[in-house]
Amino acid sequence: MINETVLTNSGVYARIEPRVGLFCFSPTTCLLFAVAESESRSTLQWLQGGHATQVSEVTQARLGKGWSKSKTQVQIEGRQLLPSAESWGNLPILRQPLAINWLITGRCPLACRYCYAEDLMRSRVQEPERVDVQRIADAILRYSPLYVVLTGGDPLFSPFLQTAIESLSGRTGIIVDTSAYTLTKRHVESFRDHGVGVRISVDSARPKVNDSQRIVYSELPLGARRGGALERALRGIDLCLDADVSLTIQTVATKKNANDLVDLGDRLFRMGVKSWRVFKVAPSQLRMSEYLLLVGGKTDKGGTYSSRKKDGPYKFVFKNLVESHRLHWKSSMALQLTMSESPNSVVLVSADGRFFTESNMGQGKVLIDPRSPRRPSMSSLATMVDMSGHASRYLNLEYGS
Amino acid sequence: MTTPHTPEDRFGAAVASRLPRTTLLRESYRSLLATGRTYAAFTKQERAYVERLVDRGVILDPMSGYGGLMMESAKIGIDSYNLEMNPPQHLWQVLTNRRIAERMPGAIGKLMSIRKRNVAGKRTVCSDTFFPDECYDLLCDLLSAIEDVLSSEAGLKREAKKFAAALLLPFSGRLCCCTPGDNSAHVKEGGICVLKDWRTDFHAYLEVLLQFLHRVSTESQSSRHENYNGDARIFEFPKKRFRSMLTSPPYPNHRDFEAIFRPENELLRKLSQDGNTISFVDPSAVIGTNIVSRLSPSTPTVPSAIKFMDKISTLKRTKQATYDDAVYYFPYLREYFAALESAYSNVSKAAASDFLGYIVVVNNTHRGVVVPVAEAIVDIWKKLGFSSRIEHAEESFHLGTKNPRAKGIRARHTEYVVEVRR
Repeated sequence: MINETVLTNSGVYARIEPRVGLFCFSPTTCLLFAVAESESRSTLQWLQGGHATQVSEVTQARLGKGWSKSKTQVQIEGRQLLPSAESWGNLPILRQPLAINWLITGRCPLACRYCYAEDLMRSRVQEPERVDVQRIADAILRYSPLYVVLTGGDPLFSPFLQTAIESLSGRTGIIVDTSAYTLTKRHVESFRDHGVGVRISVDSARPKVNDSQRIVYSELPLGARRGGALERALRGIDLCLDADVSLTIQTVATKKNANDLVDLGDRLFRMGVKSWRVFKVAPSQLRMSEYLLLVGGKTDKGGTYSSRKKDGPYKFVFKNLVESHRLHWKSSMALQLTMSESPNSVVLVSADGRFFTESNMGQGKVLIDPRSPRRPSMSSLATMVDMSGHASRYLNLEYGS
Repeated sequence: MTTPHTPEDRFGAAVASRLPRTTLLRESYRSLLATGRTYAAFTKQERAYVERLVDRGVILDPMSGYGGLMMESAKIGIDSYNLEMNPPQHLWQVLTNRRIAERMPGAIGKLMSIRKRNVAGKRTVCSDTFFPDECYDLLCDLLSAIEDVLSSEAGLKREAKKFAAALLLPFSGRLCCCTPGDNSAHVKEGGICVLKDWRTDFHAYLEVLLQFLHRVSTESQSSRHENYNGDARIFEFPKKRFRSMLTSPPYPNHRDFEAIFRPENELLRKLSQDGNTISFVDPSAVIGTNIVSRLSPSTPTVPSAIKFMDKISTLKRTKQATYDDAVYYFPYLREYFAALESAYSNVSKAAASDFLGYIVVVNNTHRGVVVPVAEAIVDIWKKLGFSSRIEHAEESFHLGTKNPRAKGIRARHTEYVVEVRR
């Protein structure tokens, strides 16, 4: 049985999972929260317009109706578990995915060195038609995720982005992941009208470092080139902040930018960014040599990466980021950290509508249900996808761990 | 959280809250404004030596850094003569000299009310250079506004541009595309400059500066402090004028003071190229610079330095270490010792017949061998005909080290005070 995600009167998407709790996604912040079961019914009633008497102040402050407080008053700190991390004895046990990543197109203006989706991009995947997009949206909604991430490639390069947004709008939260290389005011206005959150990638405040990780695709037509990735991303950030569209900045931490991240955080904070998500670079089967260069350390004689060293650049930096967040940024910027060792904690839908996850054996993308690649069964989802890693990834459980 | 006990600590805590890291001012200046000191500045222990030099007239500091000696000697009513080669450090001294500090409150009050333009529609600028056009134009506007105010309100018509630069420099990092260096006081070129709300930060900076200068004015008992920008190796000191000296040279720990203030130096260079009448000595060959390609080949002549260079050149090393030594470490250390010899030889000409000086220094290590800075200084002064000895030695750890996680011999640093008498 699938638990339905509902759009509450407050604008927050909510899904009750019996004997687990309430999962909520606020399009205003694009953050996901898990509310402990003891408070889940009353919180849902409150989100639907009921009284807040039985909802803790922390829950009200974090989740809000959209935001019950003004954005500048909100402090998001730590794991996204309500009313507190202590009220959850165990990790939330999920029965269905919280979020699904839909790689709506394989086209992209950039060829990032760490791109995990290269094996589902460019000529490796068939671009969909309009009718396919509607069909795929329906297939995704069967699993009732709290939100769908429209990604790619760069979703702005899909001619059917608007179709996808309209198909999903009001039925689940929507986030668009983009480099913002071709983001325009028109895009941003459409996102605002449909309550779509935007996530823009910035890896370093230094153009030469950012642009060496996020390289303009060599086959991008000269006419479509509009400068470096950082310059375009900053322009996109301006557009989103001006239009008051919910904005998250995403950063992939590598050996090359690790030491600059705290400073980047200070600058994002001062720019008015409300949410920052930092990932550890994920290994990509197709780009293992570049992954090794980015993560640092050495391989042994057999070519296997030394596991002893691979967290080296991260632990120190993530610790500094958490400390900086507590001391300086929490007054108005949320920090999410994803250092997940669990590659198969994501549900990915390719441009042609097949459901994949990342292999935890280093084999690249694997079909979740080979017998029914476009409509995998719930049991194969539960088998193939690491649901505890999934919860950890989306509920920011690695913050401060 | 600990409660601040002393007035200085309380002032520092207040500044830290008014000027937090997120104001995006450079760390060196936030630290100077909060505590009056930053990396390698005057420490409390050294204050005791100032008191030993009372009744000896003006104290000389030929490598005066941030002007720590000036601050401390002013507190007990002794005048000082300060020479510094690195223009940003020299300008900090100029700004905090009591004579100037006393004139600032009215001008700063006026500056708080000026309205300057913002770069239309832009929240940020990113660049691989320190000062892209948007930032530089904004800083030039600010400089000229400060200059006008200083001329009219503070009566600093003469050299108004220099004083304006001194007031602007601590804030210039806020309108600069730079990134803090890796685990070091150095700074990387390139970054994002957040133009949004820069005025708020400028106001906060002026408020804190006002409090700082007020403190300087009220604590100072003397007001005759001379500040010069120049290279101690060639500067023309007044002959045989000084009966006392308290100084500390840069240490050979690969921290380059020019690099620590690279954005500020770059701004001063640009301003000077654009026809502004500000001129300073070129800081690129500051003692201890780690860009060895700039240095002319030179060799130390004192026994302790020669012995040290011989010892490290006979160490067993890997191929990489041998290469690193040949292209960087040996030229760096050779030049360091030679530069000290040259500087102290020049400084000695300013020593009066009953001269007494103290030189504070820290010995670091190179490949497990102690770099004998203190011993070399003793040898240099002896060679110059002075009586010289190590007056005090104290073991310290992690002081001035490039890597705070260093252990064993690499973490060992001994602080020395060398006494020099004529």
